[in-house]
Amino acid sequence: MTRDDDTPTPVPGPDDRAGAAEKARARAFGDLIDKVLAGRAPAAVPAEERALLEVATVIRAAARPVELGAARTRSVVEAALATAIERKGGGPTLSDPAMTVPGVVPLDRARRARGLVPWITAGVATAVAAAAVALLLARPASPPAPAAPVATAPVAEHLRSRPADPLIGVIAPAPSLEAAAGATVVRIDTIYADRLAGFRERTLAGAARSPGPGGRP
Amino acid sequence: MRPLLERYAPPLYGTVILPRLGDAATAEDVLRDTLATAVEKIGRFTWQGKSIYPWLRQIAINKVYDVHRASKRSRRLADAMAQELPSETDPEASPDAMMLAEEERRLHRARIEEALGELPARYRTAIQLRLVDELSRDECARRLEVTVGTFDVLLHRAVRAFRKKFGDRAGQDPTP
Repeated sequence: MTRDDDTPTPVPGPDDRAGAAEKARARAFGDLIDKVLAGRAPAAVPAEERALLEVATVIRAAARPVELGAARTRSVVEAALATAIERKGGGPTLSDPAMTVPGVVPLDRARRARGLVPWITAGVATAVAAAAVALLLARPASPPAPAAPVATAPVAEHLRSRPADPLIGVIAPAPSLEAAAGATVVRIDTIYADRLAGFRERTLAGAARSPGPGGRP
Repeated sequence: MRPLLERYAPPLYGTVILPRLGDAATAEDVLRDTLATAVEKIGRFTWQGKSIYPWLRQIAINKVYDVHRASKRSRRLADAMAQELPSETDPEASPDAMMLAEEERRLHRARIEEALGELPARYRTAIQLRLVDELSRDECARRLEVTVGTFDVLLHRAVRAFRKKFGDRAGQDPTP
């Protein structure tokens, strides 16, 4: 309440006639009360009317609990904590060991800890990855795989193909991939022609069943 | 600390600060300042198995006085409210914060009603309809069988008369 509430201004009785000026003030005050009841803060208000508004608010606060609202409460608490942090240069704060309260984590310490979390996570992940690579490199070489057993052909000697080495001789290195591919095709054709000739020879001679030195396909 | 502040902020605002200031915006500022000071001075609070609320309440009342001093306002309203709560000097009498806040609100209401009781009946009715029941101006005027303009004048005079009565009563009471 402003100082003007100390001024001994007589208040007219309920049935006294009101002048134009008083009616205008009363109407403006009624508009202000409308705003207050709607939860809107009136803007610039003359000191006298502000004092009356404060009285009206006091009466309303006595009539029913004035709720600050959960969101507003959180906002004010947040602002208070920020203010306390800003002021900490001027005196003892929660960061000081002497001010330690069980279960209370100083805000600046908590914020520092929160800021380090991503870096700690990245560091641990990198260390784990490096350890895995090191283990992989340091692992002893695996013993050579045992040689595959050589199968002994159950086929009789006279039924086996003749060796192709005498036909194609030693394979010389080719100057290019194309040349190597061409030489390979020639060797395949040579072997095929030889096998076909042997087959014809045996078929036409009627000696398909008789083993002979040149009778093998 | 945050849950503690969020728990006690509403009763501090609704029953300690706002009734002593009457201005919502200023009351929020004082609440914020009160909580900030509590965080700063928490090391001075000695835990004795009782609620921290009386300690917070005393900080809030001191902040209210600071505002009255800084804005050169009358201390009558703050004084009147400060001496309302006998348990202020004996926190053990009502250690629970919500009980303490409710007790303060009850005493506050009793004091307001006492001051209202000294007003002419039509002023009392105007205040009751408009500020307590929160009816519209049209409805208030209809119930009092006057025009809206006449009701505005009636309410304006009623609040002025209440302020005088309440201030005078506060001025007569000793400040704690």
